[in-house]
Amino acid sequence: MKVLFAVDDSKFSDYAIETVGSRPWPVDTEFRILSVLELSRSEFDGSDTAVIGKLKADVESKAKVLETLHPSARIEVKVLQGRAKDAILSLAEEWGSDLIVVGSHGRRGLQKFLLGSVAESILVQSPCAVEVVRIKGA
Amino acid sequence: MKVLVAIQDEKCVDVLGAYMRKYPWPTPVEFRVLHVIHPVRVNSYMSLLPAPLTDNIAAQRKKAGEAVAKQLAEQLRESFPGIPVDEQIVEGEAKSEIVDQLTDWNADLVLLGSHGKHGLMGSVSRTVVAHSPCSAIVVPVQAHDRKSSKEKIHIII
Repeated sequence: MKVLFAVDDSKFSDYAIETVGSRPWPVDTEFRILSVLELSRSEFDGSDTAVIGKLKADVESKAKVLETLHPSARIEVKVLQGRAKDAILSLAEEWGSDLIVVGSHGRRGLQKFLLGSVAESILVQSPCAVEVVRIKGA
Repeated sequence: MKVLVAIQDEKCVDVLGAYMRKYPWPTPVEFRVLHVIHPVRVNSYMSLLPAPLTDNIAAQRKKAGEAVAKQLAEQLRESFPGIPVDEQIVEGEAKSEIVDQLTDWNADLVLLGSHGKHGLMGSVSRTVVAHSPCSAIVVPVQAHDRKSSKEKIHIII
């Protein structure tokens, strides 16, 4: 199976990597970890480079977690800039993923919505199965 | 790990079964197959409709629902020998009943198809995922053409 983890640097994504990552995936499972920096006005002042650097470090550390759990699996990381749901769905389509794993919420947390906007958008248009990871009791 | 598998439509049995066979379940795991029966909705003058007329339809729906759940449950028992698989049939609105079951049973995961006969554009799956107390896996299922839906509309005069 080809498993795409759509992550950000929130605890929800960490939890998704730990829980779904620790399932008994067969040795030929391929993992991709994608983090998307949403476009903002700051793209013109160069401050995005610092943020992209942080996101890259974040996906690398998530990759290390998966690598420890599945030493022989193929793991790729990617940081893209754009609208999160579009980037995730195009990568899923282009790569032919079998499963998209996404946290129920992200950076903005649980404040207003029962389900985060990215998870919701992915559910509506996903070309494959989607696992929405929720922290029980949170 | 307790996994609630919500099945509404007999056409989804094979799709859900196939997906579940691919997925790497941790051990121990147990599956509960849930089917929610839609109550018979009656529109009649002054709501005076004798029960014998609606009872027959309700009985048909219950029988059909039990068959769907049983079909998937048997597939799972065959594919996962030694893993507990039980069946649950409840009556009510699918969206709310599934969520209630997740809480009552203290499920760790709910698995369901994206589309069914009822509901528009996956509204049941989206509502369940939004209100679910636990993680959810939504498996893509072909949306049914409304014209080809085999749902019977009963007219009682």
